[in-house]
Amino acid sequence: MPLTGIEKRERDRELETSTSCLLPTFCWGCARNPREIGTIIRSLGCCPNEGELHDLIAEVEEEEPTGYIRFEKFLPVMTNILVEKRYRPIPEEILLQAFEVLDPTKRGFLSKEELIKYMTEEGEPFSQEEMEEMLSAAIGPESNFIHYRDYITMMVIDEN
Amino acid sequence: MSCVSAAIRAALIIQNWYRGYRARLKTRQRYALTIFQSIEYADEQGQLQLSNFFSFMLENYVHIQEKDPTLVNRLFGCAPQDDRGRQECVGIIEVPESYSGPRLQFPLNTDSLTIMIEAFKKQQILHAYYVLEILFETKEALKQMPNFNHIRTCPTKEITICGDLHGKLEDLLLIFSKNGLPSAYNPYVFNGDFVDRGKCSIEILMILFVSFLLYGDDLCLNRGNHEDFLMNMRYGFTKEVLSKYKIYGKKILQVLEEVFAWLPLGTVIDDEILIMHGGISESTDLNLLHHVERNKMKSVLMPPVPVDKDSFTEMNNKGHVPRGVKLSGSPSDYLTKHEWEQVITVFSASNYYEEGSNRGAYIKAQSALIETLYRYRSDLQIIFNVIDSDHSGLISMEEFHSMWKLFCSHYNLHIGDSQVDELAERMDLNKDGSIDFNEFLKAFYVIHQLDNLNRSSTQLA
Repeated sequence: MPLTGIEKRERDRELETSTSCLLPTFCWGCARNPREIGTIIRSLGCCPNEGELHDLIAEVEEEEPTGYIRFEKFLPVMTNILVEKRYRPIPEEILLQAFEVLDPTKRGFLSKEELIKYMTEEGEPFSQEEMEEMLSAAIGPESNFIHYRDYITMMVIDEN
Repeated sequence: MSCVSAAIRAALIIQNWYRGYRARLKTRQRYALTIFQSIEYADEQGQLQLSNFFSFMLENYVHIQEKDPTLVNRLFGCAPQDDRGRQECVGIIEVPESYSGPRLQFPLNTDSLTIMIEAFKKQQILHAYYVLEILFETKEALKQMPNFNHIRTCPTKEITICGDLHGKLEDLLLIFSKNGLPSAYNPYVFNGDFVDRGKCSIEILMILFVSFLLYGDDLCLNRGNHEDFLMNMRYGFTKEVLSKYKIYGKKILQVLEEVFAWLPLGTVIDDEILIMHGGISESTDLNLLHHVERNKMKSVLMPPVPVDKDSFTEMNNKGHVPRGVKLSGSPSDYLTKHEWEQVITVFSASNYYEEGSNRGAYIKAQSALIETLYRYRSDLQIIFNVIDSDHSGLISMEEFHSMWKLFCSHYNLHIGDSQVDELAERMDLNKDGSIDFNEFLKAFYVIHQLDNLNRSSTQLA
């Protein structure tokens, strides 16, 4: 059911508040580094992939590449994303299926080497830093295997 | 659907999800840091406020002194050093047969350290006799040391550097369990803030001081801004000592005041790395810090007395020598202003001497007294503790009045005398002319709450 004018304004104000709440944390002033935009957007519950993020940054960046982003330009774009519910996060079941695709013989785990290969060579590859971080959370120092079901459960609980 | 493209899509999903998770984690960490920093900052503001209050009193004390000389001397005078006190005060303490805590042998040995640690794990309290002996020994040892500890690394020895402990014994014990106890082969540097906030500050000090007495060169202690008797009054260490040691508490605190003042300012490793609690800035004069008489730095909250060295008298802001001024001791007991400004930044990042800091705040016209008392309760607490020099928890009515008038004029508060009188009367519950400070504060907290509920019917506004 479409929102009335009043409801729409109310909702927009709420969205603006939730975006603005991140302000002090990221020390906005009036400009922000593009790399942090990804973090901010993702913290608001949206999950653009790297390609989509790249386009978004291009949309809010200044004409001359100063390396900064102004909040006044960012806010309407972000509000829109939230209103249109774009870049919704991936449900847990889909994530599990994704791991199972990479594990066709259904062992229930992936080896460290296999995970590294997929994450750094396919899709939108991880940087070395991202890969190391993921591994440090996924496997213990002795083990070489990632039991993905447990991993997913642990991450989801951690988030909540 | 080929296997390859399915794999790519799967990888994309996992990567996307992981990046989202990572971003949210990062934001949470940033929030935590921001909150932590605001709390620290708010704290610093409070201390700055208090320090300004002391400065104000110093600038204006002539007027106070005329009316109440004992008050001023209590606040600014130095108690005569009572070196002959050691034999007399420790000598008369007897450790009773019934004492079940740890018993130490002097001179100390490595067993002393382990005995003590085991006892502290079982929450035993070290008897005041041992505490005082350790404190006196530590003071003598620290007096021999220069302003900076020097220590060297070598291939077989790693140096462990530890930050603020703040009375958390479990943390110190965790460090020792992971890293080993201090020894000649396991050197440590402790970078200040051993006490306040946590509940086991005295136990931490005992462990650190005993380790220092045993392994001097390999156990470096740096002074932090909490190794300071005024800070301790506000942040809980004074309370801890008085509650654990009762009649001996006061003496322990007195000796501690000097021990703290003798702690080195920092540690230098291999002539290359400098470790200090508050760090340094471009204007820090390391040469001055090497030579300054560090034990004159009593408290980060008490600004130095501006002194005219030729005729030892106090100068007020206008440079006049006020009448009848008498400070205890001699000029050499005090740091100069320049020295103080240098030293203070070593202990704490904030510069307590900065101009133009917040002074007071807007007070609502109604129930101004209550608001004020509530808002400034921490400051009042520390000031009252200073006045209550025998730590009895009681202040006389006159002392309360003088303090209150001073406070009001500093913060530009206009609160009628009659209001203050009335309140003071009420607080003197047993009508003996003295006020129990803790009851006083508690009562005001209660009134403050009630006041919000019964705005229209309050008679105090």
